[in-house]
Amino acid sequence: MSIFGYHGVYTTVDATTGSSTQTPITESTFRQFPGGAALGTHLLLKHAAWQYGPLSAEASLVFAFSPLVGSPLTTSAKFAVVSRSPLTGRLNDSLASSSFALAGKRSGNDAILITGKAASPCILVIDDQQTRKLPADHLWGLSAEDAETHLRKQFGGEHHFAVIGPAGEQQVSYATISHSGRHAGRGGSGAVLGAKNVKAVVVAGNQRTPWADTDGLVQRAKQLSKLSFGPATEKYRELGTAANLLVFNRLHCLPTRNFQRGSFANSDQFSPEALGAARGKTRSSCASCTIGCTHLYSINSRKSNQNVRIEYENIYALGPLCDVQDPDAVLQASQRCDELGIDTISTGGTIAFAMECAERGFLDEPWLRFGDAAALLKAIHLIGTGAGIGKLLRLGSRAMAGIVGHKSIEFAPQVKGLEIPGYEPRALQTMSLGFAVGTRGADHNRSGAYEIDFSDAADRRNGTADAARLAVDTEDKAAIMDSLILCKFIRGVFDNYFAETAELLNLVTGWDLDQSAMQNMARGIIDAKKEFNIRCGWTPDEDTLPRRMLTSALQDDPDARLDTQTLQTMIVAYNLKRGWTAEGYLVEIASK
Amino acid sequence: MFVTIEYFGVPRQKTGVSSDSLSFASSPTSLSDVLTEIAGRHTAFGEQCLAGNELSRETIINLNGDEFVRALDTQVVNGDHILILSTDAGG
Repeated sequence: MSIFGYHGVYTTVDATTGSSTQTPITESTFRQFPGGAALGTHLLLKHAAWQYGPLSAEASLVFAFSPLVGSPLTTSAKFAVVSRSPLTGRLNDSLASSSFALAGKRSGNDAILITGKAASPCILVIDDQQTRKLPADHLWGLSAEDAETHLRKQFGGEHHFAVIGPAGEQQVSYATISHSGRHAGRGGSGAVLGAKNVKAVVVAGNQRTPWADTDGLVQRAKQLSKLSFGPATEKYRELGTAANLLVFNRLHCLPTRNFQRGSFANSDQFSPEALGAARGKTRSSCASCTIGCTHLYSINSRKSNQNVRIEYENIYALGPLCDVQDPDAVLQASQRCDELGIDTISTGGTIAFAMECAERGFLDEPWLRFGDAAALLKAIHLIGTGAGIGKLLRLGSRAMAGIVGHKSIEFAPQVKGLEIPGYEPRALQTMSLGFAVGTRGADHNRSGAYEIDFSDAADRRNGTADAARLAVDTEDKAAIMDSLILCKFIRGVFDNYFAETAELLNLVTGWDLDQSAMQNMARGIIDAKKEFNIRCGWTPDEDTLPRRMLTSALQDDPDARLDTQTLQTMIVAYNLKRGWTAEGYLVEIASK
Repeated sequence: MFVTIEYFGVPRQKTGVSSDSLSFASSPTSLSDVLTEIAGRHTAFGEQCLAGNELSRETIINLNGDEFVRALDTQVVNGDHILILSTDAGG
């Protein structure tokens, strides 16, 4: 029986043999786990993926599509990559955008699960004719962009590619999976694919899914597109996320010098206005998107044809966090991260940590100093080669701290092993909770708790149980966005978020979900993520922050001080609001 | 009394300036009066920052780098810095 919006099937591809099997997915499953991060998590649980090391041959990696992809709804061309993370050992769900999502869904699958390990470099092709494994020796060692260029020549315009760079091949713990300049960036899914000797996953097809109410969907899509040109998305459209930098700096919540400070001396030069004035700038957008948030800047001069996509997070991590004040160096570093296929946040976080270790004398690397642009670029180069300290930097800050010793874990900028994004936890204390409890670690995309801090609902420097309970709602909204899938940059256009996203899903599927059903769905998705982590070995003491953030105030804002008791009060309030035990266990698991 | 307005993001783009220094006859004065003064100086921004008798959803206001406020009857005193931001973070 066909289901509107779905193919009702996922394909498992064994990279060892190249063989594949198709497995039905029931409507009742989709009603709980509609797509994207939710569906990927469900499939990992179903395949007992917690049992296997993230880089083992038995490990599973899921490309999950969604009911909305392929519809006329703006920002819906997105896909999720879900696996166990080599960086955290916990669940990792990363999202990326554009034509791979459209083509993947047209391949006739709601998800593609990859397991096994090829004996030599390969690409896996899934299209509506067949699934096959092809050699990829000619692509091994290429950047993701260059590999995509080769693949486009090899396959033509109908096929689209999710590709790893050299870092994925070499299993750098925070390697990305790339598609058309976008990255499923966090948590090291690129290393999982690299461990399987899979350079690229190639998808194409002509299988479309029907929609329950085509006229209604088209009408709603037009409304949504119109709203996407309005003030709710104006910041992303006109300035890009880099516009956050000056605001965060002014409020002392821009992490600087490995979270020693909350403001940065040279922030003005990194504003979108300053970046654009000094160099060429262009804009682009993902497929099926009317916002166009991608802002690209040329390196060094207005005449350069080397354009780098700049977001707040890569400026933050490669600039202020390392105290590097040269915008061109930060752009070059960002470009180099893209070429290697590494997550910019974890790259910057790990290098900043190493800089502090070197300055404290814990590492014998006298060249590695805060503020040294050449050192930043050299460190990234060494991550790529694995030579010298690059061997340590590839591991991420948590694992590196375990080797460096000297209690350096106390200032390793990570939660559960995932480096912290550009939101200073002491200055944004509701967000500190979001980081502490996040299933994939410190994460600004799975918790929008900063929205509470940036409102009159909370005192951002004094975390409370009430604010923690409000943070639950931001996670629930993210869980729905990541599963339908829609871009988070569109969220501001909704007046009644859960009711309106229910309407979108109903138009595609013919279901009769309402606001309450969507909220329950969100809770179920987050429960499933937590269940996966518990099965991986999660314990409550993982839900915390680096000791530095719980014992000392920001150097430049003495009022920004957080302590263990305050964080723990928020965590308990959060856990109970979720219907879990006070420690954070699911009640069903805790009672067994 | 004097208050300093600091603009960030879209408000900075719309006003074309990074800050304004405004004077008022009485202290304290309301945030509503401050925004009315700003709207008079910067029409394009003024159209966007208020929605009827409320602050628009897209505008965020912070007082002195400390608390965020939405109530238009919030009292502003001499020497205050009013930060006007774009909504939402992310990316």
